[in-house]
This record gives sequence, C-alpha cells and structure tokens, in this order.
Amino acid sequence: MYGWAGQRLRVDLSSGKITKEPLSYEYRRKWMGGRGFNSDIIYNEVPPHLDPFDPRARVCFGVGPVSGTAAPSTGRVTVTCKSPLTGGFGDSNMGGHWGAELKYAGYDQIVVQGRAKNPVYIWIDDDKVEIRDARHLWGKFPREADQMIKEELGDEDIHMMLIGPAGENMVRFACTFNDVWRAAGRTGTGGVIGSKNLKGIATRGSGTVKIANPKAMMDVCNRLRQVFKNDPMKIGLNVYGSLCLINVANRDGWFPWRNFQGGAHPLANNMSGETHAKTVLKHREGCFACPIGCGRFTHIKEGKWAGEEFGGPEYEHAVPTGPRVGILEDANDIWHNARLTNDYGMDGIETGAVISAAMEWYEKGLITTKETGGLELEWGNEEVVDKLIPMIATRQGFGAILAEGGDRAADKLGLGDEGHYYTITTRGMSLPGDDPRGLGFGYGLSFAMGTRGGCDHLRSLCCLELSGALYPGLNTKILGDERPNKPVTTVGKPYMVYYEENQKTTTDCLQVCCFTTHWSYAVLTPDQVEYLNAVTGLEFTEEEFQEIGERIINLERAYWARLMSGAREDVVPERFTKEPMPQGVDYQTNVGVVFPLSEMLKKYYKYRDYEPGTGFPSERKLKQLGLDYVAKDLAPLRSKYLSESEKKKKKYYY
Amino acid sequence: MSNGKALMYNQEKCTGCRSCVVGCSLYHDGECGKVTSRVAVVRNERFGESFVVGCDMCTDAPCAAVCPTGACAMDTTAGITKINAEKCIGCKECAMACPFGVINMHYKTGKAFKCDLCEGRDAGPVCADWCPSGAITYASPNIALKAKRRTKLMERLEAAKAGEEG
Amino acid sequence: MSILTKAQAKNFAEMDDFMLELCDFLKSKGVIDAKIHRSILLKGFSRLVDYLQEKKAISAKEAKEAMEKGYTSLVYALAK
Repeated sequence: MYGWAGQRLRVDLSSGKITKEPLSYEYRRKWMGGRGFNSDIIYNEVPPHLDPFDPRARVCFGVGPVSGTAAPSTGRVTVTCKSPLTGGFGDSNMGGHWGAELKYAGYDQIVVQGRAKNPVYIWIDDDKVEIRDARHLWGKFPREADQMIKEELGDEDIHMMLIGPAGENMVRFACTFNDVWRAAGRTGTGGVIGSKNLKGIATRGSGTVKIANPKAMMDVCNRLRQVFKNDPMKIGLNVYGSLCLINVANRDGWFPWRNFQGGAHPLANNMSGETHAKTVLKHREGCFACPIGCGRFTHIKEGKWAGEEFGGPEYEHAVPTGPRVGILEDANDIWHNARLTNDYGMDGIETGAVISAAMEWYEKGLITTKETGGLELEWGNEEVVDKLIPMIATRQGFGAILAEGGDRAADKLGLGDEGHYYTITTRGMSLPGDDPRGLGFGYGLSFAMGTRGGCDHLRSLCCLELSGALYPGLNTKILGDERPNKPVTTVGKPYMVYYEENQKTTTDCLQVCCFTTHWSYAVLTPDQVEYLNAVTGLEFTEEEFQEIGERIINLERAYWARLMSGAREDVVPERFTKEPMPQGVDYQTNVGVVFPLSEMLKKYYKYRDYEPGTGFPSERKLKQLGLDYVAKDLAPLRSKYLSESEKKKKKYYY
Repeated sequence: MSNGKALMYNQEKCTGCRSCVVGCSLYHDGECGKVTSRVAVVRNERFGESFVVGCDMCTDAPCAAVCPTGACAMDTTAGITKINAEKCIGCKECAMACPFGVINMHYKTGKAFKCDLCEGRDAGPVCADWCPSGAITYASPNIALKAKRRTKLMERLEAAKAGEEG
Repeated sequence: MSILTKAQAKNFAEMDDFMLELCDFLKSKGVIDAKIHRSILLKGFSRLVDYLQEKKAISAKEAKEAMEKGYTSLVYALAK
C-alpha cells in the first residue's frame, strides 16, 4: 500500500487489550486520514451525552497519507476527543516529529479507550506494542518524563507523545505534547488522556512510507521546496517565529490587551519576534520535513527568571499569559509564564484567557480577594500569575475553580450573565489572542462557526485576508476579487471562509502543516492534490479533495447538533459586536471598528446549506456528502432544537 | 574531488527538520524514511539542539580501508568514496569503521549504502538543495572557508566595537 | 444573446459576496448544471472562468481579463 500504513491501533487500557484493524480503501478514500479518521471515530463511538472523562470515551491520534513523506511539513498529528472544556467535539493538532515516527512504525491512527488501574505509558516499537508502568513518571513535567522514558528504553532517538501534570489532574484545558514542546493545545485533550491514566506514547518506527510514483513526487517536492526559498511568509516565520505577528497585530489592532479591552499597546515591541530574536532566542527549530522552521527555543538570560529554557513560544502561546493579562513591561515575565504553561502542560491560550477573565471580574468587582483566596488579581500582576498557573495545574485553591474553564468558573462563582460577558468564549472555548475587529472579519466569522467548540483561528485559517495581499492575484483566482485581501471588510468573506474551511480540513487530514498552505500560500490546493496523488497512486481531483473537507466539517457540526447546539450558539463574544475598538497607539488602523457578524453568517449558511432556523446541516447536504446515517440521527432533533424547552443559549455541554 | 565541491554541515543553523532525510531517501530509494537515508539528524529536543550528520567524504577513508572485497572504494573519476552494491557482501565493516556513523545497512538488500552526492542529479545533492536553513551546503571548501573567515572576522570586529561603545 | 442584462451585471458587481448568487443565477439560466455549480464552489473563481471560456460564453481575452481584474470584469463580459 502506498502512502497510508493501512492500519489502526486500538488500545483498551481497562482490559489491556491491543488490537490492530485494517483500514479499507473505501474508508481511506472517504475520510482521508488524521482529522477525518478521528472525527469519524468520535462521531460513531463517543455518544454525545457521555462524560468526556468517562473510561468509555475515546481519544484518537491520527496521521495522514502523506505523513512522513517529503512533501513540505508532514509531521503533524491530530488529537481528537470529546472535549472536557466544551463538552462538544474537540480536536487539536500538533507539529514535531512524532507523527512521522508513528507512520514509520506502521500506523495511521491510534485509538485509546478505557482507564488503566495505575498510571501507564504505551511503548510502540514497530509491530510490538506494550503497556508499561508509569507510576514513577506521574507528576513529572514532559521534559523530565521524556528523559526518563528515553533512558528506560535505552534509545535517545525515539519520539513520544506526553502530557504534563495538568493533564494528570484533568484540568479541562490541559494539552498534549510531542517532542517535549510541540503542543496540541486546545479543547483539553490532555485531560482526557490523563483521565485514562495514560502518561504518554513512546514510539520507534523503523519502516518507510511507500511512494507510488517517486519521480512525480520528486518533481513536485523539488518545485515546492524552491518556492519556499523565496516565500515572503516563510522568511518572516523562520527569522522571527510566529511572534513576527506582534508588531503587525499591534498596528492592525488585534493585539489582545487586557482581555480584549484594547487592541494595541505602545509597548508591544517588547515581546515582538524582532526583540525575541535579539534577546532570548537560543535556537530555531523545525518540525518534520518543514521548509519553514518557525519553532523557537528560548533561553532567558536576565532578570528574575534568568537561566530558564523552554521550547517556544509561539504568538498564540505568548500573548495570553502576557498582554491578555496586562503583562507587557518585562518580556521575560511573558516568556516565563509561557514556560510554566508548557511545563505544567496546559493550553496557554485557555490559561491566559481564564486568568484574564478573572482579572476583569476582579476589576469590575464581581469577585474580591474573598473568592480568590487572597490573590489580588490586578492587571499585570506577574506575582499572582506566576502563582496561579501552578495552582490551576494542580487544582489548588482558586486555581481549582479556574481549572474548570472560564464559563464553568463563572457559573461556579455565580457571576451570571455579566460574568459570562467577560469570558470571551463561544461554545465554552476561549478565543485565541486575536481580535476579529482587527485580525479580520473572515476570522471573526470562523470564530463563530468553528467546529471544535466555536472560536478558533485554526478552523478556517482564512489567511487570504491576512497574508493574501502578499500573493497578488491569489484572492482573484479563488474568490474572484482582490478586495477580500483586506481584513476589515465583509467583502467576499462568507465564500472565503467556506473555501478555506474545506481546504484546511483536508489539509488536517493529510496532516501537513497549514503554515505551508494558508499562512504562506507557497502550496496551493492543486499542489496538494499533486503530491497526494504521487504518494498514493490514486487520482484525487481538486473537487474530491475539497469535498472530503466539507464532509468532515458537516460531521463535526452534526456532533454539536446532537448536543442541541446550532444557530443560537453561532456567535462571537459580545465585546466584539458591541464595543467599538478603542485607540491604543496612534498608528493603529482599526479605531472604532465593531465586528458585523449577522449578514456574513446568513450568507455563509447558504454556502454550507445549513438550515436557517436550527443551523444544522440540511438533510440534502448530508446526503450529498454520503452521510445518510447522520441525516437520520439529526432528523428527530431539528424540531426539538426549535422547541421552547431548548430556547436558552448554552455555554457548554453534556 | 573532481568538481571541487563538498557537502558541508553547519550545526549552528540546523533546525533538525529532516528535510534532508526525506529528500535523500526519496531520491535514492523511491520511498521516504529515516532508515534509508544517507544523511541523519540527531535531535536533543529537551535542550532545543539539532545536528545534521552526513558523509564527509574523507580523503583517507576508513570505510574503504577496511572493506574486504573492494566494494567500498575511492572512485577516482568522481573523486569520492562509493559502495558498489554488487561487490558488497554485507559484512558491516565499513559501517563500524565510519567515525560518524553515516554508513548504514539497507533493510531490503542487507548491503551497505552511503552518500554518493546524488550522482547524476543536476541540482546537486538533494540534502543541500532542500535544506531550508543553510545548514547543509554543497560548495567548494575553499570558497566556503574564505566566506567563513570573513564572517567570523566581521563578527569579532563588531563585538569589539560594541564593547567600546558599551 | 448575452447571459446577463447590464442592470443584472451592475447588481452583481455591487454585491459584497457574489459567488453563490452568480452560480445560482447561471444555473437557473441553464449555463451551468448542478455538477459544475458544485465544482465551481469547491474549486473557486478560476474554475468558473475556465468553464465559461470552454463553453464559449466568454472569449479567451475576456477570460484572461477576468483572471486579472476579477469578477466585475467577468459579469460585464457576460452582459455583452
């Protein structure tokens, strides 16, 4: 078999049973790989109303047909589960080298279910799979566990997935790592892995990926790798990492200052990629087969945290526990906080988001030191943030409340609608550090529509509006118009989001990095189809490629529909639709902007063929995509969603 | 070296991405994997360190010296040490003798294989061609060393100047 | 006979997001069928232009211009 390994590994930690299932041609052609395989398993095997921490819940790790090949950036892995943060469909995607290793070991997907009696880790040595004791690893940071496992197995060159202490403690936004620092951050996958008493999966793969047409593959890869050498986005990302966005974000007013109270700040350059590279950058890191190399490794040289080292940070990892909580004066504090969320194994975005929401509750007088256990949650108080991060990870004191995520914490504290106003979430998941009033209206629309618990920048990654202007003619080629390459406009955005979501989804199934296909547009859809066909020897068309993405989006959307989540929940936080963007710096370009969702949303529904009332995928669309069984599942729910008893908008599920 | 060029590895620049590895295995074997690559990457993820290790084409090559059948020998036309698979008996002596560990045994044939500078590839060795960070270059050592001499000198001068100003 | 009237072309040219409506319109006029309609939405504007040129609804020159200047140029070409 070419491309795919053709095999799913299933591990039941309750019984210790390990099985390998072949993946049929029809199955692979329908779901492609990675995210598609995972979404299919979650839809079919995890009932919508099951507790995400129930042993019967699944957590899936998927790689795709081109994983481990010479196509650009083929090391990614999607981790999927029922999200403990939102209660809905959840997945997250990470770089590194583990994905390729998994493929070389001979697997397209791992599905873990059950719960081990004691902490364990899984050791995959090609065909040989064993469950090993991990009691001595429990409580360790990923970097410590990585070292211990490598020493134990006597091989420093293996790659592994790990969780940190937050995952073990089932923090609802704990994340999953591989290669120590590459995180699948969002939706709380680490907590589900922790709930299974699983510390990690160490892997050694000594196989290869067979290529159907090596000459064609060599040709397309030669061409694409030349394109990358002069690609404008590649250069920025390589030299400054994703922190190259800081100064852009500040100019265009999407820099998340104090829980999005502002969108720009005069001190933003303190934490820019330019400053980072000059002051604390130790090394540039590349994920598997990556022509970009946006990864950073940071070594803090001065101040209170001098000597600390860690992999990262990325833009989205650095801003939440930095400017979002009002810390910007000393960038070393920001790097230190990023190091903490990494070591404890928590989603940096959600951690910063819940702390910043709590700071705003504190500012507005909704909570006092009485609720916080004496912590003075003032904006920019690094001492408190430094204390709170480990408290959340270990569920101590006020940290235990925040470990539940923003919306659950607001309910536990009885803060009512005003409390929820400041959580900046959709479907229970916090927005990343991007303000749609400046980042772009396409992004805003995809924040409302994302299928992994709403708000997310990686669902459509509609960079046609962000970096599209760097590729003249590209917007016209796809959207028929260059005007959508401006972020703050609604022109062409519904179609942009529809197109980009489909394409991003299939990209996630191939498990190649979206920075090669969306941020940078060095690799376009026809190029992806070309290397996919060279690898697999099949004849995918561009339509089929895009349709697979559309099928998966509809399946994930249907997962939410089964939870009674639809049109009412397709919102962005009111801060963005009600509060005009204030001025933060004099060169800011978006002062006074509010985000206009409703017109774009209507149009987007039409592209998707979602029912206007419920927002559920229409029966017609589901059947067109070969999802008749999903249409059957949704049939009785359509009128129920519109009934009186369901009318209240939900914040999180199950 | 007939064309005067050699593969040179700059560890400071290596991001550890293994673009070289997948390119090498695809070019030579028509499949992608670490086990069939002639160039290797060593990573220490915990410390953010990555190193690329490839054949240095030793002039006085230990691999050729130990080969009992003459399979591993200096090709005087190309000016590089190559392994003739037909003569190779798979004894692993060359792999053991290589000071860098960049001769490997092929999982299909059981014979030794090593870097051949992608003989016949117009754009030169694929590892250098695809390396996104400039860690692997294929150039004349003399020219490369001249450039290094200049860069290092400028760095020292700049550091000294900054010291005076500071 | 032109596919669009001048007024219709102007209406499309002024739209915020034209793709679906233009495709729906072309389908209702029998210029494209359901399969092509779907293919265009999945692949984007260039597919629409290619198809219209293939069907000789627009000339090679007009197709080239549409790819350079965008859809307003296309809709006016369809109104010629």
